[in-house]
Amino acid sequence: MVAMKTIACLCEDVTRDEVIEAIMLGYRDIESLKRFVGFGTGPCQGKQCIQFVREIMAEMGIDPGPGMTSRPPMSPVPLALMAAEVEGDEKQL
Amino acid sequence: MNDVEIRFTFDGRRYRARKGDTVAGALYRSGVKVLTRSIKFHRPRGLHCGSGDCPNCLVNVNGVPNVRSCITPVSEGMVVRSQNKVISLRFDPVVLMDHFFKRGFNYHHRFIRPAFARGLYQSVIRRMAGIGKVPNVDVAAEPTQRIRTDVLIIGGGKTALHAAEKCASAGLRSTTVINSVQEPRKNLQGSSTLDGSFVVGAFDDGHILVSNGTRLHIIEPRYVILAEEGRDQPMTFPNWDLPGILRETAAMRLIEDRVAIGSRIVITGEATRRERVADLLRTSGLKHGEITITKPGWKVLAAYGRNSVHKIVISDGGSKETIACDCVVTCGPLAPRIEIARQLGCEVVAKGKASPTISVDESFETSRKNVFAIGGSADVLDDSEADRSAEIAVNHIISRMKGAGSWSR
Repeated sequence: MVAMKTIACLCEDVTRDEVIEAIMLGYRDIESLKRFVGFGTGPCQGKQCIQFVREIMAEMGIDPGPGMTSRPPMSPVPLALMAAEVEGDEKQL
Repeated sequence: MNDVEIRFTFDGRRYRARKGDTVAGALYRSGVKVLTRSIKFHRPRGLHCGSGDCPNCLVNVNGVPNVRSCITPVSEGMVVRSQNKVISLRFDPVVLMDHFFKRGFNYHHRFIRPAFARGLYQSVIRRMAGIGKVPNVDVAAEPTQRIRTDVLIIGGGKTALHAAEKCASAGLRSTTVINSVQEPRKNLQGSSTLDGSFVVGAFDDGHILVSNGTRLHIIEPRYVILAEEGRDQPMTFPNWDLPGILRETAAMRLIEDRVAIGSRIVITGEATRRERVADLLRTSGLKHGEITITKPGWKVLAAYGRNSVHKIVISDGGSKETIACDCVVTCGPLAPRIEIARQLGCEVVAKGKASPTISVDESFETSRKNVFAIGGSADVLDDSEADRSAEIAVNHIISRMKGAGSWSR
């Protein structure tokens, strides 16, 4: 059996309880909440969790606003591709 | 041609797949539901969203870590390995953490005192968690390509293809990023498609970085049309992350790939869509056993299971009911995918806790000039309305190009 948990962020294993706790500690906007509990910082960059966190905020009487901006890479991509040369560009040495 | 067999391995065991299967789909058919373990509590995780949007099916494929197995096609001889487990996927003792930290824990606040032990804590935590290991093989990377195009269309559904057709018939050069192929595609004059690709990031200068896993494309479009299909939002309840709990998109894809999704299935969520999943199941000819559709007003209170779901409790607010099941399909509310629009700086609005939407004007242009959102991206769900939004946006682009004197066709 897994322990009874409502996961808010699948990537970083952040629970609903943790989000509520952080809101009670005074983190009342989505950006500082994200920095404090770490949701939205995993491989999916908030595609799954932001809406749920917004709903939790609204339940606690906070206007959640439109959320936050995902950062690139929005989906996992090998670093080797980032380091690859660009066709047609002169090589910089 | 669906019965062509492909052989691959998962954690050293041999499995068979059919042509067209995804890695996660082929494993699901073979009864493998746990694909990885979660980062902190090592909770079992498996195929969930079916659209490459979540971390629950990340695996190592041929030495490359963090590959999304739900959207990666199987190929002959593929070597697939699970990540982030201690001992084995089905028996991972670190799951004790799950029971020890009942409410969750934040590693910015625990395991930080005394200060001199931080380094030790960190090395242990890093070994236990961490998604994927740095590969010790070279990842083959093809050189990055620059693509200059009139119109970049993002999305692989009907609306995106309709927009591509409209561009082609007007003589516009268009490039379409297709994440998953759902519709048969025609070869269109002047249009190219990037199959099996996804957007990595969108930047202030309007350049959009796209990848297919083996190379990057830097796309420099004059106009962007966001035409992604709506995302079915997760339905959250205690243990909604258990393997066997599938989002509608994942379930539909499995059924299309002729995978029996379960022997006792519960379908919950929005009325018309849960009926559609049930109908597809019944007419698919696949073995499906008993199908339970939750009644209006009934909500899932919790799911239970060890390595995958084995029962759920539902309630109408008063009475409760327990249903034994091995698969739960959730049809959560559809919401526009706003990530690319936000990165491009387009205005996104939200009223209260309702899902945010991209603001568009009457020609479906966003607050950023030359960036349009149509169909699901503009929260237009009706098929013919979505087609109309594609036509309006493309016509607008044509008239703007003519006005700017950049119409050379």
